[in-house]
Formats: sequence, C-alpha cells, structure tokens
Amino acid sequence: ARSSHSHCSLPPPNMAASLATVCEEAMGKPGVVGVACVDEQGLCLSVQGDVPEAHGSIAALTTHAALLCGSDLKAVVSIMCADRKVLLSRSEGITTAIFMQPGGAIHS
Amino acid sequence: QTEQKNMSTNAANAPSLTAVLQSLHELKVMLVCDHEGVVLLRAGDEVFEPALQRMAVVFAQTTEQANKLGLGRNKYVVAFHESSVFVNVSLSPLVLTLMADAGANLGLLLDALPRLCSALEPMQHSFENFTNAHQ
Repeated sequence: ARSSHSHCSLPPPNMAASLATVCEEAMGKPGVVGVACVDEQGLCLSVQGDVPEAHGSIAALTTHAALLCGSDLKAVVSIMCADRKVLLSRSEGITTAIFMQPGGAIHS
Repeated sequence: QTEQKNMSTNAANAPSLTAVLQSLHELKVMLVCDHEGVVLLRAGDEVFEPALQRMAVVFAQTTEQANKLGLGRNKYVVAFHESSVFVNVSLSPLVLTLMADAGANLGLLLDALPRLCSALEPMQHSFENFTNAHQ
C-alpha cells in the first residue's frame, strides 16, 4: 500500500516534465485560465491556474461522454456556463481539462 | 446499478450523509469506527466489515504517529490493494473508512471527503464530548 497526503498521483519524471510543458503551453493561449490533467482514477497529475477541486469529476465526465458516443474514448466534452467554459478530452488514459473565459476559442 | 445502502445511525444529519454516499456510485462500503475498531456507522456490504475494522484500528495508530512527523496533521491515507482501494480518513477520535474496487474513480471519493467529513462533524464532536465526560 502507498499513502498519499494530496490529491496528486506521481507520474514518471519525463512524463511529469512533458505534462508540465503541455499545461504551460495551454495556459499561454488567450482566454485560458486553468489547465488540469488527471488519470483514469481521477487523480490529479498536473494542474495550473484556476481549477476547482473536482478532479474526479474531470475523469468521470470523459468516461460518461464516451458512453454517449458509442464508447469512443476520444469524445471531446465542452461545458458552457455563465462565467466560464471548460473543454475536456481524453488521450491514452489521461484526461485534460482546459478552463477558459466564456467565449474563448481553442484552435489546437 | 446504484445499490441501496443501508444506514445504521443516530446522527441528526443522516439525510445529508446519505445523499453524499448515494452520489458516490462506485463506493462499496463506508464505515465509521472509534480508535478501538468499534463500529458507529456502517453503509454497504457488511462482508468486509471485520477487515475494515482491523484496518481502522491500525490507521488510528498510524495517523497518531504520522501527526508527530512535523508535517502537520495527517488527513487521510489511501491504500491500493490488488482488488480494492481503501481511503482511511482521520476524524479524531473517529476513523472514516471508504472502500471501492481497484479501478474505481478514486478522485470522486477524495473530492467528496470534505462533504463527508462535514456531515460527520456533529457525530465526531458528540463522541469527543462523550469520551471526555466519561474519562
């Protein structure tokens, strides 16, 4: 058994570096206020900016979205609300969530 | 798919705790024990209860020692086993134990901890007062 005193699980060092790079790159895009990467168990791998303490929901949303799209785990989820917009997608088991100001557009 | 979780409790705020537990679809067992493993609150499959009671006793001692590491108060410990995952939460003098299958969305359980602890706070304080009054 391993113990954890935070919500983050520890990825291998080079994976951690590449995740951090991806998050920093996304944070640099206009309108982006927060970026989070979580694993299949909803544990946070990397987080930057203004991200709510709801990492489990980030993983759960892409899991449920896949069921609505014929079990296609590459389904992208877009959530619109009054004061923010959230984009989620899963790749190789890692779900990335990008939190943006409303009306923001992501090109890549 | 959602199992009806049976509650044995005298806590005044049981309904809100029930609501939180029922929102955690992958949670199999919840147990609240004192530091000697006496069960105060249970929900879910009782088959695992004896093992979880022993785990709670061990955790009560573990968290007490962990508090002395100079890292601040130990909040909770996650134990990953082959077929299950356990979250032991310190609600001194009580222990909250959650059990789910190995591949469960652990993040959702951890996200719910503040709500669970908040719902159990009255019981925690009542037990603390009761223990202090009878020492």
